[in-house]
Amino acid sequence: MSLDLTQFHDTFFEESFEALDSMEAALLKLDVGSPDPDLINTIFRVAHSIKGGSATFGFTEVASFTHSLETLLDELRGNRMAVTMALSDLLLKSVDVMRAMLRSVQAKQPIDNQRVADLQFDIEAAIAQKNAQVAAPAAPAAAAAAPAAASPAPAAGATTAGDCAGDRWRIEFRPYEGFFLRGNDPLRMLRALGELGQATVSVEAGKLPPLDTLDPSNCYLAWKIELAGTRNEGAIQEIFDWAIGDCDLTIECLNPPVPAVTPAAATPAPVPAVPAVPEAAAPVDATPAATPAARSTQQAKPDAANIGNETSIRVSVEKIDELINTVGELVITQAMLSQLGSDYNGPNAEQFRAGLAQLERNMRELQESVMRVRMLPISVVFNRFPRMVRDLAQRLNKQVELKLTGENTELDKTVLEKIGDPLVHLVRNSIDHGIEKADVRTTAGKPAAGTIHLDACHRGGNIAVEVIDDGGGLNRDRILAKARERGLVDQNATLTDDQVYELIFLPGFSTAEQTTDISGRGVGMDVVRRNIKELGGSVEVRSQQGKGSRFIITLPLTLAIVDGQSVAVGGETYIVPLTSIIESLQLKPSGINRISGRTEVFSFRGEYLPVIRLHDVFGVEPRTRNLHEGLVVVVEGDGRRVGMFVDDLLGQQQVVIKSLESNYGRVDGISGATILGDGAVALILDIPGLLRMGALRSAA
Amino acid sequence: MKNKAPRAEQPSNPGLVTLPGECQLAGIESLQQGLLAIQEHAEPVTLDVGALQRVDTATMQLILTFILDRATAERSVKISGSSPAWDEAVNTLGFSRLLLVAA
Repeated sequence: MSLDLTQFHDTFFEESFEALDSMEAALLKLDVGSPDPDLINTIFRVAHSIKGGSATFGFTEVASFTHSLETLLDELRGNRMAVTMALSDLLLKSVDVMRAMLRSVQAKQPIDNQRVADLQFDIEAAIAQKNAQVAAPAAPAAAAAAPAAASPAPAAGATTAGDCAGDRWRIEFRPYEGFFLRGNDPLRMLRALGELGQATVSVEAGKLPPLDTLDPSNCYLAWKIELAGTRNEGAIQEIFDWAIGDCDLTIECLNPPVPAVTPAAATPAPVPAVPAVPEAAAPVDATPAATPAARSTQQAKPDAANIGNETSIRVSVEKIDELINTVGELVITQAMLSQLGSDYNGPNAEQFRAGLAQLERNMRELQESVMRVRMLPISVVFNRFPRMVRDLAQRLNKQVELKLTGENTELDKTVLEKIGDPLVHLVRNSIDHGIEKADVRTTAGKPAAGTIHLDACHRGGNIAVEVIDDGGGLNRDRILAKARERGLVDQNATLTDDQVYELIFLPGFSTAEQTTDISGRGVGMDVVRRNIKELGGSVEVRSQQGKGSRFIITLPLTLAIVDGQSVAVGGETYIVPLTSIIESLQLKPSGINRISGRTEVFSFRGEYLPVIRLHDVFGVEPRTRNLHEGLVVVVEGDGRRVGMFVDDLLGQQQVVIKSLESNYGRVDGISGATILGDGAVALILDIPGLLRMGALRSAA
Repeated sequence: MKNKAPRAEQPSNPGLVTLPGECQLAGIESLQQGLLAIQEHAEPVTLDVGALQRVDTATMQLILTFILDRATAERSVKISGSSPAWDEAVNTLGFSRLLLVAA
């Protein structure tokens, strides 16, 4: 029976990408001159695991490239080569190439062979250069034998006793019937194998006759063993030395060395045929993310012994979303029961209500637990910045240090996926426009290296992510001048610093004197704000000229539930997200004015706010049309405030968001729907959308 | 060293087989006879391995055959007693899963 390896591809790719992230992070931490051996080992293990997995799955180009890389890393590991800046760059480029290769293979697209060959050539050249230096003082014959890269590639799959680069073996051991009578005991041999490494033994008992016809001195059993953790085939062979002639024995290296490619050969060398079994255990590794092959195999072979050792499992997001959805339905059902229970006066009413209260508590705990499953640490996003900052600083000839804090703060996976690009934009801007060149900084009395600080923390039920730099800060005068030049601000208007800084979020606004490929094209901060808004978050900026800038992003913990205020308009109930509400108030008749006889406004904390009548927006017959007989909810969206006129406030509750778009269609001013405790559907208001609608109405 | 014959079909408990401390190829026939004697026993059979100190593959193969045969006939064998030698042999020979299935 042959094993279909394609079923493990997704896991292999997923884990390889994670491992490459770890490798990149380790490379960035590597000190030139005095590298940490643990870091080099981590990097080596990633390359080794990806090589093994690629070879197993038949991704020959990836295996060939990683083999060259592994050879180079092995030189570093053995202190036979020094970590230089150039070498560090070469290794980082290798990460990029491996990532690109894996992406191509995953998408079944052709690999950019030229790029791969160029870098592989550089790697081989680096090894050869080192070998040439080592061999130089030696005799010519020794020199000819020394360079690994220049020696002929070993025959495909060839392994010699005691000399196999692989450390995983498959042993098939079939004793002949008279095996016991010749003084052999498989138990002793298997025990000795287990002492060489991690042995996984499976027995074949298909040839056992029934007990009454069984000759107990005959051996009817056979074994297949997978052994991990030894490179010494000779030692394996030795265990069976006394049984030669009494059994069939095959010893196969599962991860044989991939033939080295000489610099002259631009095309990747073929990878030896490998058995159709994924790697069962990679080298011992303290970093789980760095052993993709090992983890693939745990899934591939759900062995009873392995299951007990698992501390985590991978579950598809779809399954989690299904679970969240079901829990959402349960929350609605529980709310319905609570509502019914509050009106219930029959027998055992008190116990019934106590039970419902307990149910509510349990439901909330269940919901929180399930929501936590979707949470991932923000380090998933932060991890891309060390490399980015390093590369950008190099290109701009600036010195920048990156400080990361709060990386373990957890966010909903969807929020995390969407916050990456806005953060990249902010960090790029900070390096390009914020941090000054070293000479400028030292003249200003600052350290030559600027600092960009990325921080994440919980703040009032939300997550705050900050991008802080100690650069030159926003130039108030230039922003204002640009805004006036574009007619965005009245020539005589007096603006506070915060109001001026807010201007950078206007579409197309840029003060950059020249656009670069890094930032300053005038497309950006408005997109940053829009993306963050779409996540239900906000972004604000604080800046001090000469001292630096601080961008504060506030994000919801999750997109699946929202804390809302339910409001009544006629017979309808609407949900207003609590994050949008400033205050609710009842107006006096004298407090209402009209501008141009049309737009209703009222005074609120020193400014006049327009009124949006929800019953007009949604075409609902209200309880009252007199503003002073209902309530006004002051809401804020897109930096603007309005008063929303409603009949009444009903209560605050967490609601499960159901997509209106996927179930019905997009409706302006509505971000989704939810099901209330009585089974009725309530629409969740999209406050920025409503404000845009209100603005259009006023303009009409 | 020869095996002592396993104590099977004791009058007080006909379904109990107690393995001696040493179970090697040399005395395996008596163990086979003992096991054959209770192979058809309708009630669950208990195999007491508590005294076992040394065992070889031949003995383990015999016991495995006995357990699998009984499992095929939908008759169970319960392993009782604690013996590191037994546990080590089961694990090393890769019998765990088969015994689990037969249980």
